Amino acid sequence: MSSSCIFFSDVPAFSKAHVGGKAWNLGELWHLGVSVPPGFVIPTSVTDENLSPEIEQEILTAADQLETKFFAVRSSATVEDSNALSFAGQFQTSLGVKREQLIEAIKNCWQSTSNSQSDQYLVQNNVAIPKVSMAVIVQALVPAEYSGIAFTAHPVTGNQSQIVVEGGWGLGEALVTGQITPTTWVIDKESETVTEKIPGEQSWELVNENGELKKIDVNENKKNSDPLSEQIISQLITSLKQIETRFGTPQDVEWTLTNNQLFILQSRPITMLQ
Amino acid sequence: MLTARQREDFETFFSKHADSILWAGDAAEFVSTPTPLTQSIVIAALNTPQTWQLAARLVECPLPFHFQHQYIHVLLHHSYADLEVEAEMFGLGKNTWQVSDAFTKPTQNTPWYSAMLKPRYLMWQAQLLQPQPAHKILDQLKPKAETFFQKTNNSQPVPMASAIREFSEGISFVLAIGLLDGFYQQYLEHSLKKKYQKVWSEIEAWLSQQIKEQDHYFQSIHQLSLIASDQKKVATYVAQFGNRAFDDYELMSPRFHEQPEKIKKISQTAELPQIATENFSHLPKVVRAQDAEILKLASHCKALRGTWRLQLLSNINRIRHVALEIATKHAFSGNEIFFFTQEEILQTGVTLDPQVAVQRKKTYEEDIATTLPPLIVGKELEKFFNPESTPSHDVKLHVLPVSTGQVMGKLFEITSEDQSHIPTGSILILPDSSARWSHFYTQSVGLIFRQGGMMSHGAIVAREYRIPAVSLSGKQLPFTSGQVVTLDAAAGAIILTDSTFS
Repeated sequence: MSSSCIFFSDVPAFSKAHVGGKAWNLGELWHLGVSVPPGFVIPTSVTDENLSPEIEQEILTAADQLETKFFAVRSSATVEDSNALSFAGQFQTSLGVKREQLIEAIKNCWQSTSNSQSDQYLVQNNVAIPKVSMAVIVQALVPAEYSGIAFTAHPVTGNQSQIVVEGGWGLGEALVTGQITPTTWVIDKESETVTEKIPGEQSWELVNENGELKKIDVNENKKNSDPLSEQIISQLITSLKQIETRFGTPQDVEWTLTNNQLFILQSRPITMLQ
Repeated sequence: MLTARQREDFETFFSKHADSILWAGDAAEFVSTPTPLTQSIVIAALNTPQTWQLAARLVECPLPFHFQHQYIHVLLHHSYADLEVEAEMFGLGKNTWQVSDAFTKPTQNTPWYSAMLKPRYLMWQAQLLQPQPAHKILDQLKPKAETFFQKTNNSQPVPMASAIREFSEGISFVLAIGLLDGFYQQYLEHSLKKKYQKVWSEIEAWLSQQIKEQDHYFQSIHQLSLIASDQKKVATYVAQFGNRAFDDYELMSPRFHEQPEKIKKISQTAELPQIATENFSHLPKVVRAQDAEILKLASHCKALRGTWRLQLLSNINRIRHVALEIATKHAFSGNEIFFFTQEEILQTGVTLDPQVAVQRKKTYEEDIATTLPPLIVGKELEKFFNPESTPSHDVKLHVLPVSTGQVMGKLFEITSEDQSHIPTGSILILPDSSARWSHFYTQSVGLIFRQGGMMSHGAIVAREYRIPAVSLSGKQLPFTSGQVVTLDAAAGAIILTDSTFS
């Protein structure tokens, strides 16, 4: 195990300050046994300034072990995904990254600590700007057919006896960035039954076409349907409950579905529950 | 413009309720700093044309008329705005405080809440523009205070609660507390240091005793004090190095959260006083810098407001419990607290006619029973002047709730990330709920996303910022920039607001 790449399985041996909030949570998920796409984290000790050719090589070697053609490169800042603040969408995420683009994508992620949008968020929340240090997650990109988010409490009303799931075709990025309106399921946590389903409004989906993210039209058959069978929903609920129990607070979980297999991409506490 | 009848109605209304309470600033600070009082009435009388106009400007209400009596009534249930600012200043994060939605949720009795965007500012203004009487009062009361301290100096130490009570006899107890503590500070520097330290420790002992007794009320104070432990440190610092206050420069300048660039700059360049570095090293530099900035501002207004006046807020914080004790022992019942006018105090010196209190109570009860007219802002005002010109339509659009709350404001469409000028009090229309628009959020009072679900990044950030938000989910918005709407994010509705008097 190289010190510049920590695989999810090894994450619990390190501190949150070292691997960042998101990666630390992913380490927990990995050990919980839920299906997480394989990956590793480049800890906060590696920075733009001390990135050497040796470290770059270590990163590429670790990336090869993920056995994937495309990567997702995501931020894991030390302040991120805490109970109080989510930093939702404040830092750079790159999807569909090829091996040869990997180092560049990691650098972009580091640099996003200094973009004005995230600065504003930090100032607004009284987080001293120099204190943010950034770990970077490199993960195999799941060729998502359908993706979504699930909250183990109602995000708006704060009702903790409900699970609310949002989903849409393609990569979850379109949904988390609010560019499409997803289909919504409201589920009663105890009886595990869907009590409400609000159809979404999706005319395009985001897909990875050979490393390029493309918006393509959602075909008519798919437009008014979804692949969430009862079995998948029940599988999702089981995972969500497991995750919530593990972290002890209501969670905000990103998930994706490919070939009828469910993956959990990340979990963070829900901030601002009423 | 205004018809004779309308003018008469207004004047009747305001003159009827004008004989009210003038210690507006004190009152506001008293009820609006973290306090267990949940139902206090404060009526701020703004009695110069300038204050009225300024107030109108603050709520973006172009008032082309003057009344003979310019009064505005402000009802506070919980002061959301104040808590927010306090928390912000002390780095507690807005959400540390369990504040109510009173300001953003109009109730049946208070339909004008949502229009009254910044009552705190109105009240500050009322006090800021009346600096003179404070000095005069001080001059009048100084001999009394000196006698008091002389007396206590020569006898056994008196418990603080009874000291304040004695001193407050005949005058507003809030004023008494402010003065007493102000003089206390002065006397500390002379011969009474030891003795009065003992008195203060008595208060603390008394308080902790109350807390031990698990009294619900004191328990809640205790919790508040735990939350505000950092705030206490700041207060100590302030007591040593200046008085916390706000001058009209700050009043008119954007709030801290409205000028992140400035705060960032301060935090990067500010030469912090050494004491700040030592005592608050655990606080983010931004907060320390803000505090230094506040102190700087405060020093400007010393002359304006008089020393004791500036100390009031922190004093009240420190001895609120005692104050409440006294208040409840006054002629008034329950949690009702009344404030005397400067004029009343000036006219009668320190001895107030008890009848004034009775009158105050009567006014209070009348005010409670009164339905206030809605406060009209912006262009809506024109409709009020020409009621026939615009028929009212109740246009309502049902949408997806994203971040709860209710707010009224003018729609403003954002199409570019570089948008530079956003009018204050705007409800923004954003293309989607991605985080790339989130730097605009704090410049708005509400958000409408054309696309996006309730779990998208923008939705999460809106909830963290406590800004009411809804998503159109791709639906058309039948309203355009410039129109005034009520955004009822809790119910998932956008309502075209037509405020004519009914």
